[in-house]
Amino acid sequence: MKALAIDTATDVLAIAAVNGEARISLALRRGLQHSPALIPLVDRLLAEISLPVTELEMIGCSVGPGSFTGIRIGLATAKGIGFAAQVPLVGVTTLDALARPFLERDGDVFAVLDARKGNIYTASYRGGSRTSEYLDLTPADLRGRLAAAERPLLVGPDAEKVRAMMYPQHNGAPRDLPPCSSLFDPLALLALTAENFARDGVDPTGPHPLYLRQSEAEIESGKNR
Amino acid sequence: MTGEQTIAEGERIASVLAPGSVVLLIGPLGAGKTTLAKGIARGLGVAEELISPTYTIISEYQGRLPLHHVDLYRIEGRAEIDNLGLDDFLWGDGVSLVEWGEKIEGEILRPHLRISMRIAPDGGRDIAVEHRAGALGS
Repeated sequence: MKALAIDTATDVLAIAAVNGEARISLALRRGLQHSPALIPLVDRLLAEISLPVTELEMIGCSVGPGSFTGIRIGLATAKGIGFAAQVPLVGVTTLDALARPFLERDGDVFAVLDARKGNIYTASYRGGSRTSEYLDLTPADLRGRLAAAERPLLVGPDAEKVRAMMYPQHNGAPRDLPPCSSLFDPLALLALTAENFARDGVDPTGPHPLYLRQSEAEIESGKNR
Repeated sequence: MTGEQTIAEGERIASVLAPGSVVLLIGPLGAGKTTLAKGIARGLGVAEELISPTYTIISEYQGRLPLHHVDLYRIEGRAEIDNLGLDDFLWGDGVSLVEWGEKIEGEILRPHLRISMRIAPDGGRDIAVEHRAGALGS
């Protein structure tokens, strides 16, 4: 396989590429400033495994949920490379990518992201399958789901922050709370890219952003209808 | 208040700003919003000269804290506001300074400063600083 995958929806800039046996990945966490670094780092990683963009068989790109601007940076970049090099694009959901390294874990895995405005983007997984919709929940609603879950684990770069949003009064030991993992493995993006490509093929107009939340404009136009 | 006093007032306001602070600047054209913003930037230790982002909409500076300077003067309607992706920094760890902030006042859910400015009858500037809780409080 010759593929590239990127995710700019969170404050981790994640890039992974594969050229046959050669794989390379990078997860750079330094806040939401991916735009200037993205293309130079893609170039650098592809050069390291001697993979010109024209040889790519597919490009995977995160569609979110996550940062509004971050999603657009990723999709615009992926579409630009895909258009120029005539490479098909595949959408990958960030929450799926976060949960992916925990496929074999025994228990419920909750991929979580700070959705701003006091809310949380999440989806739950078990035995490698997603067991909920992609959700935009209040901390109380997610706390309720965790209480009903079996051995829940919170995963994602914002996992600890999200846990603090759910249990703001908690002063005791973290062992009383669901465990967290902040792992973001960019290779998970590649695996999902290949799977989604095999399953869904390519949408000629896609991939499309997964914002989850209605914009204020959509809410207002709904009210006026 | 003169221009120099407005700058000094901005520096004083900057001293109370922390990661995640949101400051709405509200007042008519010529009320001194950008002058106050310059003072706030100076108070935050931004070395660069702050330029009005009326045309660029959002400018970013680095000082003691990251500073996002937003001007919503040319922004009309919800769809345009949504397309700015303001949440990324209104909920981030820097300081957000929003001119014509009344356009997004209803959705600032965190505690914030609301600064109203007007041209006084003597040609100086009046500045009123209020602390608002925001719908979610903290």
